[in-house]
Amino acid sequence: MEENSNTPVYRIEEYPNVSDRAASLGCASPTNIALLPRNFLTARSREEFLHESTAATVRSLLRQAGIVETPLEAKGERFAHVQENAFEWIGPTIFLGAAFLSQNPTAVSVSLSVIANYLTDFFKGLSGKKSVAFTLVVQSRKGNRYSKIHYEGPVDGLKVLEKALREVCQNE
Amino acid sequence: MNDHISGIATRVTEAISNAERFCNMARAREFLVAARDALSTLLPIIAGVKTAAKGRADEDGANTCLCYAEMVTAVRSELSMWIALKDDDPNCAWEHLISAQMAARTAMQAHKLAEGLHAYVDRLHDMEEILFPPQIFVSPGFVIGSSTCSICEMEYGDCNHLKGKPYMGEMCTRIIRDIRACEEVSIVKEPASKRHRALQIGDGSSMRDVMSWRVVEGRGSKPEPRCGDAE
Repeated sequence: MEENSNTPVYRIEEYPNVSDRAASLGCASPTNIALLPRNFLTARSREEFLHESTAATVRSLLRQAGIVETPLEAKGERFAHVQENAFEWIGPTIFLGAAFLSQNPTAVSVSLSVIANYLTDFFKGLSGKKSVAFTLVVQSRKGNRYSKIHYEGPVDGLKVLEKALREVCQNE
Repeated sequence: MNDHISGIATRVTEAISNAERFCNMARAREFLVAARDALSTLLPIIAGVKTAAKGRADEDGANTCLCYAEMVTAVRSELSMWIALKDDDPNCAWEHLISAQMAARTAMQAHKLAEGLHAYVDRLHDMEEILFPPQIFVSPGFVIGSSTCSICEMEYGDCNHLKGKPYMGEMCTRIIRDIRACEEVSIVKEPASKRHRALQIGDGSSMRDVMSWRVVEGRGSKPEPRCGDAE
């Protein structure tokens, strides 16, 4: 019998400077909330950037929830995205700027809730394990440090990201 | 609920209940065919009621009709699976099983009236393992330049339609338009589409059909024709 691998798990680790990395590739520095491409740290140029296939859906969800994004893309620019057909929901990396966190204390909760509601409907009619992978990159209040919070687990465990976020903010 | 839609609800419930009596291997083929054909006659009727609902801008009514159509399609596909197994065509049977699974899922996403279909979904999933040998699923990975929304044809993500949600009786899907590269093909345990699988496998001396285990004549012989009735 398989072990229960549907327990929510998150890990926190340091992340390189997002502003510096964005600037080095000629991108606008995200200040609010932004979706980071899968290869944000390794792409040699912005033309190589690849969004997760779920990025467009998450972007639309956030927009419909009234969350204003400061995207990496220039106006009219569109990054390519990957389309992988294994069944697992891998969310885009969401950058949370210090200004966004301080000015919008409930926005993270709203964002996660909107995404979780969508995923609950998305997984209807599927049997077997229904797990998601999600990553947040958080800018410290002083703006000089960045932390990555990576989550894997069931949809209803996404709220553990709020707890992880509080942990990151408290440890600054 | 609108009277037309209530009428459809009754007909669908009765037809599915009747058809389910034949969803097993023991029943004679002619009864499975008759049950399948009876379900087929419902689909254009449901489509007509859906068109009328759309004309009234009755989104709930249109989505209800979408749900009923998918429920009918699911059971119809399951019957087709049993028929194909009786006809010694396991590849076709698999295609119909996947159609049934996809239709059941769409029904549950289309309207809350199908929320009780969990047990049916689980039963269809169990059939994979009970009726068929283990499959080797493959999953391609692409780099995509652009994709469009099936509802409004705008670039997906620019509109407010969401993949997997129903809008006025139509399920939103993302249509890939610009494939820039095929990066890889992987063997995976849980593919997005269970139609993507190895069809033949070598046993050291010859190639065999994964399903039937019959020897396939000649290496690189042309693949089996697609099952004509699969959706």
